[in-house]
Amino acid sequence: MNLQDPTTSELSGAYADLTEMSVEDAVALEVSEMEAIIAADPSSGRAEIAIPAAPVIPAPLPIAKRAVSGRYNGTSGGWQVELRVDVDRVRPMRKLSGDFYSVSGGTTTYFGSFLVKNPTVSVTATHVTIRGLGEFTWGAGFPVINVTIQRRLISQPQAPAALQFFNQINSPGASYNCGFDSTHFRTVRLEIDRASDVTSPVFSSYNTGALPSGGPARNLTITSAFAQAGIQMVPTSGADVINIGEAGSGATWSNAELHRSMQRHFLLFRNVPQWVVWTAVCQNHEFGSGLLGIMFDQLGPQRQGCAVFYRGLAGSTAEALRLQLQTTVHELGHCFNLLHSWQKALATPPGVDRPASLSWMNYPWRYPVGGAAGFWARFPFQFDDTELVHLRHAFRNNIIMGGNPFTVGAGMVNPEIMGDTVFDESGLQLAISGANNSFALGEPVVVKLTLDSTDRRGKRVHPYLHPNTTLTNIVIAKPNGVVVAYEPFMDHLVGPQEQEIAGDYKIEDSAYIGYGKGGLYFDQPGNYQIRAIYHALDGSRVLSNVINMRVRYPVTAKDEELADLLMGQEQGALFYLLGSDADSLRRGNDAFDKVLEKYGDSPLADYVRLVKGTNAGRAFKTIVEGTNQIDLRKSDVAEAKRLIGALNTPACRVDEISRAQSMQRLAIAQRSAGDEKGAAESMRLGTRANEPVKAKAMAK
Amino acid sequence: MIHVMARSFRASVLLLAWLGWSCSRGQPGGDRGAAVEQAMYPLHIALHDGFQNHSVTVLIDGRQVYRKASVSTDLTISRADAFDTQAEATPHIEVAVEPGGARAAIDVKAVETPFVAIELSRDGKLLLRPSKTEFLYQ
Repeated sequence: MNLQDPTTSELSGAYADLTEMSVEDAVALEVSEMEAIIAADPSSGRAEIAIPAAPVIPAPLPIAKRAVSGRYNGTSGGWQVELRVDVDRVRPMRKLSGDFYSVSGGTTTYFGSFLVKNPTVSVTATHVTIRGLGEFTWGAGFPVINVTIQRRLISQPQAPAALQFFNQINSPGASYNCGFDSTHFRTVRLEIDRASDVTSPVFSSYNTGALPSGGPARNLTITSAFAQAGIQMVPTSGADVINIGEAGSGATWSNAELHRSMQRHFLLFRNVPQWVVWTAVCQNHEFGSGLLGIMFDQLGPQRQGCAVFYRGLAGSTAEALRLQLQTTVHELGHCFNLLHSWQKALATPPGVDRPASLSWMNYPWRYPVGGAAGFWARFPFQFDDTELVHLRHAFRNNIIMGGNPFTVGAGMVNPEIMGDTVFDESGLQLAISGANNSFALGEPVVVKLTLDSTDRRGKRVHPYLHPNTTLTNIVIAKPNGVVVAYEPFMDHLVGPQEQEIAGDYKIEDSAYIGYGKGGLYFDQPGNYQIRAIYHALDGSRVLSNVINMRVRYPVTAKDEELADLLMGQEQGALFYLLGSDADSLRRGNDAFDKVLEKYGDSPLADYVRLVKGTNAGRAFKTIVEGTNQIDLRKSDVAEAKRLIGALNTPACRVDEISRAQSMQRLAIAQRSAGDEKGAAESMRLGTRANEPVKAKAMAK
Repeated sequence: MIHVMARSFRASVLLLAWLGWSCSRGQPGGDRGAAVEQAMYPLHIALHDGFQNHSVTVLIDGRQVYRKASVSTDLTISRADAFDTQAEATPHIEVAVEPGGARAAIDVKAVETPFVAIELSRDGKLLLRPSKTEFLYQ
């Protein structure tokens, strides 16, 4: 099994032209007198299989067979796959989709998703075969997907699905035998808590026949409304009463207060992508009685919680119950990353606005044909088809609570920065933090990485946290949604080294990630997301938290000129190398000189001092062009001290670790120059409060 | 004569009703005596779809009643901001948005339509929609 692509088998690359026809291909070539194309009937919402009548043999009594749609799970090599087949049962969307997870050591990590938008569906008396070209979140080598499922009688258990990948010339790749898991495409745990000042009954169910509507009469609860979309909502046992005091003295909720209460009362809350969602039933929001509900969770990992407000919803009339149901399903729909019907074009990438959609996600009073009355008279109490496809088949991080931010989600090709570890027994914890949350355009972006043990017995680890070694990777999601892996400007080979960390003993490092083989990584204003991945000795991939960083637009002419002076390939290389005399980087050094000369009082000039001071403190060898001679520029300790010493202020923008390391380098230069006293002082300034912890760990 | 008296009575009832509405909601300028004296009516103005870091200025009868930078629509509720104010019976509302330079104006009947929505369309046009009923969001 290929470790980079779960569609590829170990043999598929080597024997691409010599493969035997697969069983699935053989079945496809058999006489297909019973073949039919499953078609969705929009009027009934059910698939009908058009089976041509046999001309001679009288048709036997129909024997009920099991539908095949639903969720399947399979494992092969280091991969787990969740497969979703959607060709029959209620409102079939004729789609095939799935998610891959990689298993490495003690960790299970989301890898990527795929979707077949337009599969061909062939049905014989014995099998259903679904086949089509998939869209993937990674560059799949074998992008054609074939799923074959045996048709079984209703009295028999559900058959497994044979999932087989092919390349474009029909050579088979990886295959998975996937056992049937559920008739639902996804399962989400739902916790509903109530604020203590809500005295009216909280919604339980509504009979859609109580008032005129556009669909069949049925009793709907929150969970059954989603079940009809193919989503299983499993209520948790964690129902809680929220003290209204948490909403402050005014007893009206702000979004921040709701978020805080979610963290406090949501038993399953972890602030990571997971299939759990929280709903708060409250009385008042600070926006007033017009706010019926809100998906308030728009900070950090988003879409984990929503709230409904009974000041505008309370009551037991049919109208009130109908609005309670619609509002609650609507808000939960936002948690699944569904936008309002008339705002679909604002998704990233954009969808198509559907202001006349008879969907949970529309506002009844915005309905263009008769307003609220017209909407309710026609509303069948369901999501529209496009929303149904999203709910059932969206790439996992575009829908999972805590995944991609609200509105970011219809994107089909996107490496998965949010690929969280869903199962982690590595015993390690990696944290990433930025020296600042926002950076000026051109300002070097430096991150701090910390590795510690969650195993009280301690863990043996390698100490290489800096991405230079590639034993720790950094991924960056840019403002345009493109996700790139940071590639260090130079590869660093490291020898085998192990040490034990436990308790307070942790490893930390800081890394400049603004420039590498991919050029400048933060060259556009906007919001970035950054995550680190530590490759542990046992093969575990330990994922860090995700941090958000903003690169600000230059506001003034000074900002713009500073950005111009600090940005550029040569400047990036100088930041990466902590300075250089190389003639090829002369223009970068000239720009840095201009920064010190013209904008020496700017906080950004500190980065230049760090670079130029570090470089001044070391001797620099240059090969004289056209000769074998080396030109040695001696260390300028006084200049190094002047520049690096200026960083020793509380207002300095340079991060603490980088400053400490620069002082330590200065101390070494001073000692080499015979200045023992100065060296001791620099070493003292370069010793951070937590340095002994790291030093002790490194000493092992 | 009866017709005139009836109309006058109806107007008085409406005025008192709106004053009561205003006071009960704690709106600015909700002092009943002052409102009667100036014949002012409550007006709720809400900024809805289309705003993204815009600067918005609202004038009523030439008086600036709202000015805010970095106004953005919360797409989860299609609402960017809202404020309550007081106006004469048929105020002239002017709205200006930057960047983009969009401008729009409308005369409303504060008694009949005391709610006004401001929306910035995708092609940069300002739409002002008076409403008889409170705006609902979800």
